[in-house]
Amino acid sequence: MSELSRDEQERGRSGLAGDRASAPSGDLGIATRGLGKVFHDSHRGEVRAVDGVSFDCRHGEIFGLLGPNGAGKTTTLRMLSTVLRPTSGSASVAGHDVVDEALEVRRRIGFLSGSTGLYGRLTARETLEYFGRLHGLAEAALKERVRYLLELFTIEEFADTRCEKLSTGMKQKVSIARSIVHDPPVVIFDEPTLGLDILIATTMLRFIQDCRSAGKCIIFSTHIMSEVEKLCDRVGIIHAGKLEAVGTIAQLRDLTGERFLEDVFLRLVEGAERAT
Amino acid sequence: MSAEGRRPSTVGTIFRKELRELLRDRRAVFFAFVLPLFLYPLIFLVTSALPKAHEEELESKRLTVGVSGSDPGLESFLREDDRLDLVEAEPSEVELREESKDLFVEFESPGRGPMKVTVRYLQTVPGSREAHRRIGAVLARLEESLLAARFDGLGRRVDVDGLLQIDPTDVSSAAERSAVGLGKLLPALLIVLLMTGGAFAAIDLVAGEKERGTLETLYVQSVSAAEIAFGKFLVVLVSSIASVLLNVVGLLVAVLSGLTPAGLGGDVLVIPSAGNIGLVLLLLVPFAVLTSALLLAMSSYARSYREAQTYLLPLTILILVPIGLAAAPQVELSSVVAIVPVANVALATREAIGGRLELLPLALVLGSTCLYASWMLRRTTSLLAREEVVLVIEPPPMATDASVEGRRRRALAFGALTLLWVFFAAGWLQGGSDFGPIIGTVLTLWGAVLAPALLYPVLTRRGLARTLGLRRSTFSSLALVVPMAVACSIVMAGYLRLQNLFLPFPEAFAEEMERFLSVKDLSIPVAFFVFALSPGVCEEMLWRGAFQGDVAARGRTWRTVLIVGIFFGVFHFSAHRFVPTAVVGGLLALVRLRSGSLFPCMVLHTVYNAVTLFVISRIQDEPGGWGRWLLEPWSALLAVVVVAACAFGLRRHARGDSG
Repeated sequence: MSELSRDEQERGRSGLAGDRASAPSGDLGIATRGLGKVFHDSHRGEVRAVDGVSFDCRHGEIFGLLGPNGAGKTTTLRMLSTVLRPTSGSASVAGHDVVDEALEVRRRIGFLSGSTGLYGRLTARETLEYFGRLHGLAEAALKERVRYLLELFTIEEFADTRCEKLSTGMKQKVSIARSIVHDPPVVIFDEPTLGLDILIATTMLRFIQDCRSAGKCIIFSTHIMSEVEKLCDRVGIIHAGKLEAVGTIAQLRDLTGERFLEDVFLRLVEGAERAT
Repeated sequence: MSAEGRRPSTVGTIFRKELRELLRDRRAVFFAFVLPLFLYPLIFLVTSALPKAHEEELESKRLTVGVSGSDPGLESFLREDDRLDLVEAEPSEVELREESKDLFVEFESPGRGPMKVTVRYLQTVPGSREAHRRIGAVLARLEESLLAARFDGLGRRVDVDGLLQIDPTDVSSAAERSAVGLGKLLPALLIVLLMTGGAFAAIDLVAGEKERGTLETLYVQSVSAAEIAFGKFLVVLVSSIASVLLNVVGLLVAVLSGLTPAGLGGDVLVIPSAGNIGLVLLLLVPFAVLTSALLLAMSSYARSYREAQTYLLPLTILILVPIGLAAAPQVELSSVVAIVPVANVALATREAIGGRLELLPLALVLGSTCLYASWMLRRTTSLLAREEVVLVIEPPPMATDASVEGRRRRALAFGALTLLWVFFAAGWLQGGSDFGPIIGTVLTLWGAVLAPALLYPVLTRRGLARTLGLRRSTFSSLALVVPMAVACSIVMAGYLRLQNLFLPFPEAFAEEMERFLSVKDLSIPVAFFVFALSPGVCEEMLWRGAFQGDVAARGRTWRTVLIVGIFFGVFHFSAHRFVPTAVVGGLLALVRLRSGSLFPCMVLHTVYNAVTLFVISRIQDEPGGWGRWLLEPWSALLAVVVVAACAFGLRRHARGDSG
């Protein structure tokens, strides 16, 4: 796994279009400005799920979106991945607006969520090939890319087994491979370790680190503090749809005067609740 | 298992939990239980009215009969039926098939013996069949009169059987008769096959993927929503058509091996020509596009596989209604029918099987179906581009009073069960028992209707007065509902006259009502008690009391008004009275919401019934009576204004109360 960064650059990209692969490190991968989403619920009327969220995430950086359940993490990431349309503000991914250039955005992102399912009646290989074709990979390059990913994630042995028969760990590996089959410069992970045991979760976290080494822009959401401390270059703390604070962990510690991230988080969230 | 046994309490616990969970699936409850309540009356209403209208049309239609070998005496007999046009012509099967003649009668009188009458007709053509029926009646009269003439002339009976020898000949071929049978059976079969064949794919491709969590993944790939929708649509289409083709092949194999389904009149099943089969398939292709797009839309709307399945049955039934209408033999593929969706394809299929489909209707059917199909496909595509369709969006939880929502669902379940209970109880009390209609009505109201109203607050432990809204009302509320009731009665009388134009009350129903009500035979106080006061109290306790109390616990005013109105309309178990009772029911719901009390509702209901029964019905019965002006359209319009003004007055009053 640790070879991913080098291998990615040398072998994986061989069949891919130029601009997707060559996102210069340091450039803005994701930028949101006052991003908001209002749902209309028949019982409750307007529900403001995300409210004026602004942050940036650069290539070669891991940005963690930390918040309790129902804080608006998933909604924010779904807006970035263009499945949801913002009701206010704007967001761009790899320089493309998520509303006006949705297709361009989708070309440049890999998206994976904890609740992602696989097509049970397709094999692992067929799954990867299907998504590769959707992204317009040429057949020769596609075969090479799939072979490479199967090897990278050590799933060659099960490549021709139907996904429904795979173990949870194998399924997760196929899902990860699926999300980067087109080698996107930006990856969006929504609670990727949700429901995984420690071994598989570790595989997932290592993969995220490898993506950073490969110069990708990574945003992932979680409510697990240790994952944030281990991985994130910068953190955004989100609560009740609002981004309460953004910064490196050190900055957040300074801001709140707390040492442990749990306490930093609680201080920020409680402060927000007192304010309302 | 047997060693452990079955504990009734545990079974009960599991039963209650399962039932609760099922009933909380509101959409499923609506489609499985509530919708059929309206669907079937509606279907029967439409399906019974239309073929009857066509039958009447056929009965009064002028038909042409070719006559040969006749003499003036015979002809004058035939002319007795003035709906028959007689033309001197030799029998020709071609003319029968072209429908330029509906029947041929050939008289042959040999020197001795009975007169030979040969009647040639086509059993497979409605007009020819009708002509045969009419000519049969005429010939029977002819025979009678010939017989009478012999008696008159000789004063004694002569050889009776030898007067006329009638020989009816159905000239239709086995293929034609078989086509009629197939024409009845096949359109419905093919269309149901299209639906079921496509549904299997459609449900899995959207609702199923949503449930398995793969749909969102698909939408974040570099593909457009339209590409996804169209790709999925093509699978549904292929699956539909494949299902039809395989079934047609199966059918052909069965028929070729000599098997014939029952219900085709014992005739041999003759396979239509390849050209006609091809024509049927040509018709089915654009129709398959339409149904596939419809199925995909249905699947997109559903949040889960199971939910999509609950929609399939009502959708199929809905599609079968126009097919059922088209199956009536009198219905013809006119230019108007040729653009009615679904019915046009069913009829064109029938005509194509019979080899009688002409170019213009074919073009109209194909053209209009293509138009509907492309419209539906566009709708489905745009549906699949909507975020709330792709994702099962659960907005973040906020402080909601779960018990309030629970109360609303509980009330809906209570309302549905009560409808069933009252339907059977009232049926027995007013018809099946020995009580007679008047006592039966009183028992229905004060027993079957009042009991659930009183039981519900007890079971839910929320207090009788509180649930039913039995709280003091202001005098002005009570006063305002009186003019409101009178005006309402005038509006509904006007509406019913309008409805009678396109949905006439069946004769039998009107007589039944007349006999049942027979208000004139009862003394006024008794009639008032039975038909005005009792419904005013008992029905209000049930619907605006027990039912509405919890339905209105959450939600907007219009929603409560709509739900209470619909339940109240259904409660009268009559398609003809549904609209007026639902509207009045909704208005009563509004009165309870505005006034905050049940008593104004009781007053309104009682006055409304009294005015309708004692005033409006008498005015209608006596043409030229003193109050005819009440039935003028402008009176109804004025009454609408009065109702609205009173409702507005109530609203202001309620505000004053709370402030």
